[in-house]
Amino acid sequence: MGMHSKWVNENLVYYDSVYGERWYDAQGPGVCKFLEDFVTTPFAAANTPACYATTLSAACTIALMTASYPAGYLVVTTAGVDDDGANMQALGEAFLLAANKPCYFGIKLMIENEATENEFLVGLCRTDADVITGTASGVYWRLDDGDTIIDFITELATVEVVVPVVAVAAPATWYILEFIWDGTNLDSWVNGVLQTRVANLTSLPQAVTLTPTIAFRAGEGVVKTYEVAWMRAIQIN
Amino acid sequence: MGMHSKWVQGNLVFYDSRYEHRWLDAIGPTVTKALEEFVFTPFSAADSPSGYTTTLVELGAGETTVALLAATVPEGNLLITADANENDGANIQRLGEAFLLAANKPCYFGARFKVNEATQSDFILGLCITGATLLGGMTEGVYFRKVDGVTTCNFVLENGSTETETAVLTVAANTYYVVEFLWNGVAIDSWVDGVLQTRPVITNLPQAQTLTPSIAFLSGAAGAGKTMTIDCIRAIQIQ
Repeated sequence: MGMHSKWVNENLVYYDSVYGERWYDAQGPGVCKFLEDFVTTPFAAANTPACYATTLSAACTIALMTASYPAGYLVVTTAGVDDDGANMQALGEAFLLAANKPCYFGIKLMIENEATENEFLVGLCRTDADVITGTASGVYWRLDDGDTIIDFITELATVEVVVPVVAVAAPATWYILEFIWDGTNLDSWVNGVLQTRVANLTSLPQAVTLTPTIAFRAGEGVVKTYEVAWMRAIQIN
Repeated sequence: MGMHSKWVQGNLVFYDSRYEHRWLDAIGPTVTKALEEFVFTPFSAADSPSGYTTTLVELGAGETTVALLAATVPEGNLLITADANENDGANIQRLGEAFLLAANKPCYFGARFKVNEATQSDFILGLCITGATLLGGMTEGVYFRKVDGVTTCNFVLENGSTETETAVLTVAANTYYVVEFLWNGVAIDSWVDGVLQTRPVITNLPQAQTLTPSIAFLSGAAGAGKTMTIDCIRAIQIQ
């Protein structure tokens, strides 16, 4: 594992030497980036990271983890109530997947307990207090309650194009989910493996600004735990 | 003063051109970093920087304060002003515990600070286990510590409440110091103002306990106005 750098539209992008799609950072005049490794995340109050709009249901908690795992990560713990969970979105909507504006999004997450009775949605989305049921536009991965299939979805004005079964969720397993909009095409990766290119871009929201989004919900009345090691969105405007 | 870069286990580390041990930043697949310049540090309330757990230590009815320093000092500083009782002060730690000094996981820590009272002050700067009373109550950490009644600052490795201490600095009032350590994955070294200190044995290096950047400051005697000023605190690890 190592790192290289390259120029993208005259901006310097640092990327993984093995997984070329994995952008770590970028510097330059056109860079818009949100780098979250859950090491220095400020909290405005308990369960309230300061740079996110956060909606919690019931007695769900979110915190930075102490002990047991170095490198920093976020842990979301639901109460023992079906549909209890957290909806977190970076403040603002800084990302726009317009033509010739390359954009990377990546996230590393884990479902701690079991695979089926959970819901999650992670990616770039329009702001909404309940993105799992209410987002109107975005590019994201979604796991529905009652199955283990992680779908990759583009959505524009509530019309979805679903690329099904990009991964099958398993408990206590880290997943790295990534996509790159290169300005013309949209590709996604699961744990570094390239998936089928999204052929139908009719639901790619190219005129709607989006923001990094994390949403988890329990699928049954049992305490569930979700972890996020990092989330990065980097765009060259 | 300038900067160079080098590769450390596939990550790009930026370091001071005069002091190679002084890591300024890093980018790469296994970087964990907490860089704090106290320039735009968010606060969730008065005395509460929002990326930290802050415990104000109060023996009386007064109020220790924690704030970014306005005016007089450019570049950003955090100012801790202890209230008037002995052992009033503040205990400030980054949320979470993201750093683990395991074998072959290099880690840099550095801080620049000053105190306005050399003898009657207590402080800790370093990577520590989370706890509301670092001065007196810590069990694991790697840190620089001065206790009241003396001006000697020690570099301490502590594991299971057992310490290895090395005297590294005689503190003077109102004087900025840069204290740093670098765990290279095998051995640990410390520096004061860029000068390498005696290498300690690592018997009490906490290699199985996650740690977090920590600041603690207490007044060593009654009397208002004892302060600690921190210019920057950086922790960078290749995990």
